[in-house]
Amino acid sequence: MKKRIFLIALVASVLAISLVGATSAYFTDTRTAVNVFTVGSVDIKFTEWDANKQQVEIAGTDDIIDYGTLYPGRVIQKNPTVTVTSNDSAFVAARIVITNDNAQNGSIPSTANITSLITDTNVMEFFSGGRLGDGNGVTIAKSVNYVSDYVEILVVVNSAVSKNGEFLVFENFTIPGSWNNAQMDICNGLEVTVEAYAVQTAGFEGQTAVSAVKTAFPTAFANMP
Amino acid sequence: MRPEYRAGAITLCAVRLRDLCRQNRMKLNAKMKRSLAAALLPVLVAAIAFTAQTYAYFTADGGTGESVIKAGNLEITLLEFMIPPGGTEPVPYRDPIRVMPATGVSKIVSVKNNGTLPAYVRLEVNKDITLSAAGQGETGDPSLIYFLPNTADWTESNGFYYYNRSLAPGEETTPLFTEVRFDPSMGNLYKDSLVTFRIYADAIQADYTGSSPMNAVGWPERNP
Repeated sequence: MKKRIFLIALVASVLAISLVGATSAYFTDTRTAVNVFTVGSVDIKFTEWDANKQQVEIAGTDDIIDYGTLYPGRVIQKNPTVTVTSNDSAFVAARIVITNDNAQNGSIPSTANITSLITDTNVMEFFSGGRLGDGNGVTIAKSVNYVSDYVEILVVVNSAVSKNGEFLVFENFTIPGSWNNAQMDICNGLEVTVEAYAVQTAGFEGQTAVSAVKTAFPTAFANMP
Repeated sequence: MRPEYRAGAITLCAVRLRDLCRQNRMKLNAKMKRSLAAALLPVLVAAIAFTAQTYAYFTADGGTGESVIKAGNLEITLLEFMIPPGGTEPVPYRDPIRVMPATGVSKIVSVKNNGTLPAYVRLEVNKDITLSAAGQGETGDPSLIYFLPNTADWTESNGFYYYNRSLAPGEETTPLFTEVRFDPSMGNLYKDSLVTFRIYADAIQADYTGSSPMNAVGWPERNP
């Protein structure tokens, strides 16, 4: 009898609990939205002419072009060109650094400094053609670093460059025909390095190209006023 | 003890213990009565709770004395608008073609109560980044995509943004945010990547679920 009472009570309890549980529900509703943002990009291609006047793409700092023997009056056609390849437009800039063997080897007698030959006042005499040569639509800054013995030229294109747009930095680098043997000795190991930079234009509304480039590359363009 | 309970369409008949005993020709002694009472107490409590939850309001219709029970409905709409470039008036939102670091995208998100019951609402935002082939092997940081929430009308708790008060039928919340921003530190790793932005809107009846949205019970669960 006790067992029967217990069983009856157990069944009734389970039934009651399940009924209570089943009725603890509320009206609800849910909605979902999915958005996909595609992030853009800025890509450039950098090319130069090699010693055979063939245009080659420069991938990195290991791509060194040897232009052979230098002599007074020699014109080296480099044509460094920056091309925007991305769909998104960019502000484009270049940094040119001129050094010689002495600076690179860490041995810098003052009379052998490249900076004694190429200064921030005469440096533009060595370049011709391109934006650096004609100075149109670019902001140019020149500086000489006497500690590390190099000459630096910074060039920023003042307007945005869209896809397939090109920035020809300069055409020719010319060794003055008036240089003597001592001056040519200083040219041993002469290196003219051109670095290409690009930064998105989006997000810099209301700012100049120079401001955008300095923001994006504060170290490389530290000397750009 | 002669209980019979009628609630809604379900009739709950309690066991007529005395009848049972008569059938078995047994006499309940005091001890057995106490045991039985203890065993049936949860049944009684459950029955009372069940009765309380299914209590509904009656409305009169046509003067005929008929009772009509109308159930309300809960329905929300997740609203997405934007101010187009160069424009001033909101338009339905469209995903932008290409976004860049240090920029923002106009996106105005709110919820409207289209049902007949007051509702608590909440929003949840999940972000995911799929890097381009160039970034394979790396992991993007979704925190670089962010919005500034409206903290005057919405309260964040455990990843959900709760609208601070119940929403009346036909009423619309203020926007949770109006812009999605992409941090300037999103470097070249994120070039040509895809950012997926999922917004979930939940609503629950405001009546009988809690005194505030955050302590309301019965919020729908999300399948992972």
